[in-house]
Amino acid sequence: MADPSSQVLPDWLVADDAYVPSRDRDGFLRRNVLRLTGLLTDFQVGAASYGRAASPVDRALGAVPTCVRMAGLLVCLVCVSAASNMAFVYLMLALVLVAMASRPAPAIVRQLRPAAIAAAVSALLMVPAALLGQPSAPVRMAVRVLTSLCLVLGLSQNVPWNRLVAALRAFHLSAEVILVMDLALKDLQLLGRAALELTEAIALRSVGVDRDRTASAAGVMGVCFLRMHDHAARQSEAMACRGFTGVYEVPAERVLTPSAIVYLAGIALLVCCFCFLEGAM
Amino acid sequence: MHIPDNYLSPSTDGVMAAVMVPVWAHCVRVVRRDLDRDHIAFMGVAAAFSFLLMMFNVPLPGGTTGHAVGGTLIAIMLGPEAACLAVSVALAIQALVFGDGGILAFGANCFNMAFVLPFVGYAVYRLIRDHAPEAWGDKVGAAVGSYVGINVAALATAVEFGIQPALFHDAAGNALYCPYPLSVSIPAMLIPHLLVAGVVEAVATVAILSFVRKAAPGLVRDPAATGDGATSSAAPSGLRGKGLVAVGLLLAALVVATPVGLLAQGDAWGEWDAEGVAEQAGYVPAGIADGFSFDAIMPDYSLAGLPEAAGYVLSAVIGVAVLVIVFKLVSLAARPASPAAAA
Repeated sequence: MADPSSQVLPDWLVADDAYVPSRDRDGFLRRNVLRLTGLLTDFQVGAASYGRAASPVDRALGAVPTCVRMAGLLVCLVCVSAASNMAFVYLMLALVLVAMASRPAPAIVRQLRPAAIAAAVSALLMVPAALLGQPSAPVRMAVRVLTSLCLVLGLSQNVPWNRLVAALRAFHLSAEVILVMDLALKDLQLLGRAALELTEAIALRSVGVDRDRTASAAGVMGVCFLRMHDHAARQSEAMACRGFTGVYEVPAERVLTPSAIVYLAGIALLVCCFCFLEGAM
Repeated sequence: MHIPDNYLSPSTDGVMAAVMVPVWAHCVRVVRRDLDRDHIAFMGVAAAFSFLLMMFNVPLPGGTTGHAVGGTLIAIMLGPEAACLAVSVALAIQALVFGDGGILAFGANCFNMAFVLPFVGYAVYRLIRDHAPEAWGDKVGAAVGSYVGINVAALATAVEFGIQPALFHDAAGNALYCPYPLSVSIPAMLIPHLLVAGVVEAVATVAILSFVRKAAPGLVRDPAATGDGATSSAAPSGLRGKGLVAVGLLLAALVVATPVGLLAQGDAWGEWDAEGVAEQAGYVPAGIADGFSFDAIMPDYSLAGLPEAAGYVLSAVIGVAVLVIVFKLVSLAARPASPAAAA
């Protein structure tokens, strides 16, 4: 057994290490790039709370054929945009809020966050109108945007994507358009994830200050482009292997179900309210 | 009991807000310690009860109107600290969205209705409940506690109104803000609350509490668990399923019934606009004539173009939904419910 006192550390190990890492400054990366790429991952289409986990309101709406819901949504959006009387917009806002309140908290966050950001931006854009003598313009615009977006997100986040595609086919939309939308929306989320992973990796590895942010951003975008290119090639091969020719075959579905009739009656009532409040009745 | 802007001097508003800051801080600390995620989410439903009760105006002697608050009800269900926060959020939404209660006077309104009312009401409830026979102690405690709570809150409001003319007046002796001295404000606020509003508060508290205890016992915390850091004693099925649906249906029924509150004509005492003050006092105090003004989105729970009752119901729906959403979002920051409660 060796005497511990006889063991001498080599000089290079004993020497003081005067390494002083420069101060890590990645605020720009974390606050801007990561935030922006994180937003891409929010492009989540499909049923986050579908089936038994859904709220009572979403369960009731889930029984309505999706193409009927899309038609109803379109009518509601037109009415909200065209309403000159804010009472109708507040009526729609009340319906949207009730549906939102019935959902679990994480689902509320998913729906409210993008809608609130968009509403805040639109209110900001309307500030000049407020300064020019329309003080309520920002609030009116924000409420309209919030209501419209919540209506759209309420459908897109609580209906599976395959149902949405089937509904689009029911409107006789061309298969090419559906294919482009289908792939674009799915790939946006994948792109966001890839970009998020890359920027997180850079943030963890970076030490000190990066003076050439343009090169870093270009690097991230370049790698994302290459990854998505590979992904598109693989996707194309997978589609060919499964015999997908770009045509969406959707089995015929009964549209006028009892739940659809109730839903359409509700939409008709809303249209009547719109006409009454706009003075057309 | 909602003090509008300019009835209290800015310095009074500032003092009341400053008093409320540590109260809110204490309440947040206790609620985070004592309540789990499900109970904090239920605070939204409790705040919605309070919001709706405040929309049911009842005619009071003297031609004015009043309303219940429900602060003691929430205090019994979730603890006085939770009641303070729930009523504060309800008051904030009333002030910002519906113009009910002042923006500057928010601290004073919270002091009266979110602090004094639930804490006093809960203290009286505990006193009676802990010393009276079990058969009737709970219900009588809830009734007496809520009655005393709202009257003490009305007294606090009257004192805040009544000290204004003595403290803030011009060279001619005219009040700058609320023109009524203590000799007028105290009887004007207390007598109607002792005779009518207090009774309404007691009846509403006992009725809703009995319903919630029967339909969803898990929603009501054991008072013994409050304040000692103990976790909730929720019954397993209390926060989900049929119990919560029953409570939701009660809320919906109250929303539909809110236009009943429009049957009471006139304003509440001390909630007049400048013209109303001129009619009552013979002059408009300078602070009210030239004071701060805020245009709410849906002033007085109404919307241009909609019938009064429809606007009232729509306001109730929006208020209730916003409160439920706000507290559901807040609950994300709380600790998860215990497995027993979540089962």
